[in-house]
Amino acid sequence: MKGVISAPVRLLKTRSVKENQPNSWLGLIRTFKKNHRPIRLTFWSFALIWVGATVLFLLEYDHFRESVSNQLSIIDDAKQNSDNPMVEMESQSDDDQSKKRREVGFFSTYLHTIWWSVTTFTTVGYGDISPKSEVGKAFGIVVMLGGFVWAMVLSGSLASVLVAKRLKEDEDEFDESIFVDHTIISGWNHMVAPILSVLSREKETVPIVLVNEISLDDVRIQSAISGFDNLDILHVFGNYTNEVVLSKAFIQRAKNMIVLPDYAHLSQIESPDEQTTVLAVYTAKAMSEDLRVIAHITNPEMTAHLQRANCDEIVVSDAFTPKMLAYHITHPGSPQMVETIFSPQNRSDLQVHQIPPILAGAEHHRIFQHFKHENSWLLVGYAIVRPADSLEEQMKNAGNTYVLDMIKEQLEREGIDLTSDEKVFIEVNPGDNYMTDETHRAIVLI
Amino acid sequence: MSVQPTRVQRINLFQDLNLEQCKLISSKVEMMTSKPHSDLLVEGEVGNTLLLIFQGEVEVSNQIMIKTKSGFSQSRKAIVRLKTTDPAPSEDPVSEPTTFVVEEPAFATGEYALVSDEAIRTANVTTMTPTEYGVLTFQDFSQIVEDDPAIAGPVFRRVARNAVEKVKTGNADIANLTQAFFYALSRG
Repeated sequence: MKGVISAPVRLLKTRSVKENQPNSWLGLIRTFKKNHRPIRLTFWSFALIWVGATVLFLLEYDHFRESVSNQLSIIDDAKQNSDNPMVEMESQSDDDQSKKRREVGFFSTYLHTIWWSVTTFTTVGYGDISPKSEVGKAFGIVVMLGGFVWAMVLSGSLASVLVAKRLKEDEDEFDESIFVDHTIISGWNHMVAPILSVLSREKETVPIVLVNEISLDDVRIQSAISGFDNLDILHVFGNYTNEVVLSKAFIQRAKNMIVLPDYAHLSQIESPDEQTTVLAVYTAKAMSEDLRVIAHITNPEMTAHLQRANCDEIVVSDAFTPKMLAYHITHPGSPQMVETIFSPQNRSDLQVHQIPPILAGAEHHRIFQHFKHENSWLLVGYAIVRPADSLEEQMKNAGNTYVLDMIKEQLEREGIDLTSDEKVFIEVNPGDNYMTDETHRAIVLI
Repeated sequence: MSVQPTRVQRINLFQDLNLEQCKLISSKVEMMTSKPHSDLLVEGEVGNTLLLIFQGEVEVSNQIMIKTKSGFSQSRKAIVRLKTTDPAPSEDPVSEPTTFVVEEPAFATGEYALVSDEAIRTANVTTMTPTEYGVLTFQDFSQIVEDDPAIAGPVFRRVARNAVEKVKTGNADIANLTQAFFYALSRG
């Protein structure tokens, strides 16, 4: 399943609602009315039609009776003419017609008053019968305006029921089990689309969850996520420093999270509040210790705060700009090379690849030759993935065994891992005899 | 009742002494027996006696404060079990060991009492089997050393070596605890 899944926040809220079961007929009716607003409104519509008809019936009884009588007489005449076409209506005098006029009773008049009420209430208005008196017309105005408003309320209510039904269908289609080892992108700025673009180019894509305070139907979101049909993208609306919101992004099952400077409600010339980024990292790490959090900041002074928050990777805007500028003078060509490698339009790329099993634990020069001859790739170094700290490693073979056991026992009881999260360490262009191991990944220039 | 000099010689502290010297020591050792679950030494108490464990199994433990679900509490943490092999304990221990067991022909414990008559016990020593042990006081050992000063060198060298080992291990414990402390702070 690929595509954008909308409004999960609302869906999840719906799931959490648990209705109390009614325990009596009255309760059942109340619950039914509470959960079926259009039906309730329809019920009240009938009640108002009936009230309107009754009031008009009382006010305009004589006129309505006469009007109904006239109509029925015309129908009778038409029937008679069709049965005996030789009889010409023109030859009949007014007296004859009044004699022939059908006498109508109380019930028939009331029925036709209801007919008037329904046609008026539903804004159809045939005009076959209508009030004549001033009071009747005044009441008619009230019924007509009331009917107009009521029709809008009822149609709005029906529309909301259909929308809710559609959302429920979306919820039923929503398969949250795909959100495992996914990537969360929290915060909003113009980089979201380029990030999605890079992630979508991977052979095996992972689901993406966007968490920000921009509505899904906002043009910024729609334009950012359009064109990535090979990505499963979930949008969660809300404050990404809030645990409830992050839970809806399935943070406990996520593998990576990117925290961006948030420009959701800022213009590009305004500065985002980067303490929000620090708070988001603290919250995310508290909720999922194994989550790899990559934070982007514009203010380098926030680096220390992010490190204290156990942020795994910190990207600082413009961190390399001074060197790039200076190298244009001292090493012309070098900055252009970097730009070329990282340009999305260029075929060259710096990628990380697994070392073939046959070369596991081999020396650098052998791996270098392998990539050069087999793929025409240039091996420039290694990404070494290993825990940043291991207390167990540091403490081994020293001190009393019972003290070591006690330390481990107490830390584990407090939920503190003896080994920290895995971090990526870089070894650039090592010596020929540099030994690799299973923690090494090859960084190659393609 | 006194103990045979050959049994004294099996104890690590006195291994460098000859039988005559061990005889001098054995003459001053008061032999005692104890049932299982008896505290021979209590951590923190002041003592001036060296215990020579000739037969039986004892558990050396420390009183430490640990955090449990209900809060902080004092608990005895077993450090090591000492088990004699010559002769072996007469019965099985009353509880299975939760730490490693050191087996030797015989043991001495509370050796700091040989250098100070107000040595503070650094651990609890509790019997796990019926135990036969001897008691040598600071005063008696001082008298022996006065009578035969040649005994002092080999014995104090052993005491000093054990002390150095304990200081080394203690330093490593402090280093580990400090690392764990900062690690917990950074992770908490």
